Amino acid sequence: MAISFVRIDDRVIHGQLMTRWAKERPCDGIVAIDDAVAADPLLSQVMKGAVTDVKVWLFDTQTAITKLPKVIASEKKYFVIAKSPVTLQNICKAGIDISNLNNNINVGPMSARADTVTIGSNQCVNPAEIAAFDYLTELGHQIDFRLVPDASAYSWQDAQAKLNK
Amino acid sequence: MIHFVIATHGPLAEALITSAKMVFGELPSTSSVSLTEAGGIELFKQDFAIHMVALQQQKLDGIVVLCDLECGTPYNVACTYAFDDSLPVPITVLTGINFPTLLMAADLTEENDPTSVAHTLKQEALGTIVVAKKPATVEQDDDF
Repeated sequence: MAISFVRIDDRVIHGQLMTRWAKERPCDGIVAIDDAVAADPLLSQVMKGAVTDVKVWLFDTQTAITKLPKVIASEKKYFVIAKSPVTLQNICKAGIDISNLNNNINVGPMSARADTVTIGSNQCVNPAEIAAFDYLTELGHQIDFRLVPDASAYSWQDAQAKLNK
Repeated sequence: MIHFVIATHGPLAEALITSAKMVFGELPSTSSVSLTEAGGIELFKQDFAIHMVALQQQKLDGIVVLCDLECGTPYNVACTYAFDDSLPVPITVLTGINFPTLLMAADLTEENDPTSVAHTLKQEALGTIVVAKKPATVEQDDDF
């Protein structure tokens, strides 16, 4: 199993936090997936510049679906970072298994937007993201909302209970 | 257990904590004391003293005071406590605090030696001032 950590983070690659998570999980490289970022060469360069000590790939969803099987077959250990749970949903729907050594899908910051509800500190979801988390949970993935490694956490089930109140 | 006190000129200390919470959600074992224009040196000394008395009563291994400017008032006042060997909880002052260094401090609250924590943070802090460099544009290889 080459995926050591899966994270949803709306900043995609964030130097400080990657350094922090990478300190505590094996990380030979980062595979970041987002259609908008991958389509923007300047933004891609900025994101890649944020991490200098390991190799970084930035893929759109479609490219990720073709490349991930090779990543998963590797002897090395990789972080997979997506900007949105919807991206991970699409990847799973394409048949890619994102089971990982961390045994869950970690969720970092998801900023407030016009159509979102807040489920935790700096963690907000819109209807499409709610459906994506439902889908990922039904696939058997544990969702772990946790900004940094030793911070307090809650699950998607906790968030659902809050949303259904 | 280490407690961090941010002591600065004006609203910087409180603002650093507010900003750090944006990244981390929470920032335990960190508090702030500010020197204000209205209150001046005397009020700062009082506020800092109240803060130190409260912290000295907690079960801490040490306190690291993070100041903004060497030889500024917050630094000078903090040093009068740090250099006082009679206090039960040892205090170390580190000056030149910035945002990434504060975030790194959050990793060190479980430590027990404030001086060694301050030296670790200083080493880390030196690497936080960086001139942004445009990476070379390279095709992405398949060498996973």
